[in-house]
Amino acid sequence: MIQGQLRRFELFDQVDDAGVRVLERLFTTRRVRAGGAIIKEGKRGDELYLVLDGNVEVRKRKSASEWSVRRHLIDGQLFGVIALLGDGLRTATCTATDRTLLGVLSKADFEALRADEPAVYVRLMQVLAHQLAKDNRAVRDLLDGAMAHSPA
Amino acid sequence: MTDELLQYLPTSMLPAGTALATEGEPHGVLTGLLFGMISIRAGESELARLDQPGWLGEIGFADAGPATATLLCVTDCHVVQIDRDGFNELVATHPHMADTLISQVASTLSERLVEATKGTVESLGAGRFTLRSAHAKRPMLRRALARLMGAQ
Repeated sequence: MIQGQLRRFELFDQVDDAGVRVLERLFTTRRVRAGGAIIKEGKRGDELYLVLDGNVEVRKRKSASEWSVRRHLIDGQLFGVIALLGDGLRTATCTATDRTLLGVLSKADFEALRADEPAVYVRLMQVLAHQLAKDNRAVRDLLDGAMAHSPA
Repeated sequence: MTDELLQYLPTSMLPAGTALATEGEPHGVLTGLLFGMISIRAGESELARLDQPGWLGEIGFADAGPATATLLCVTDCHVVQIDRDGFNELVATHPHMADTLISQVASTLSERLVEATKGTVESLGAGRFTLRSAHAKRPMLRRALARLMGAQ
């Protein structure tokens, strides 16, 4: 349970107070040490994560020795959304760069929410869509930056 | 489901040359293309043409940010459109339909993110599609909408 946490984050503005209370009951907390792996690209996973306090680096492997994408997630950002909504396969590696407190939502609780609280589920899906939209913009910016710096 | 959706997401016919969104400007409207062809442009470049049922404007709809591209009707286009206020109304009155819609949006955003992260930007809807009359009969619209909503 992460009581009183979600209202700190703009991402959850579209969820009403009753919905926030339901979601806060579903999230559990997990502490990760600096350097601790949370998600590994290519592995299966069934949890959604919310950074409550800390810093998480997201990397995607380009080859055995190269990373093609590097981003940092801070308080209030969600990750693990693609695997949660899809086939469960992780598409990037996420590592805590500082001692980090995470909110964790299991896929089982996510799916139960759809049946038990359909209106809250829709709002959570809206939150996930919002996070994915922000991620799309961030990756596009990275690509634009890479293209601007590539040799002519 | 699709008949109900057609009531809440009414179709409209937009003449060729209509700008559905302008890059960098506030937008927030989700557009589903049923029939026709839409050019997706960034700056002076055409990124892709969408000529089969698909969603457009999902990033701005999800995060209320500016449009990431200019959307221009190349031909007369049959579309369904919904803004954030319309979606809120749908959540209140028909949460199961809102669930279907936002799940599609999140799924599209998830796929876009995976593609963008791979650095592939050419997959925004290439492919052959037979253009239909702007006055296509309702069963055709239902089939197109069903395809848009992932039911077929």
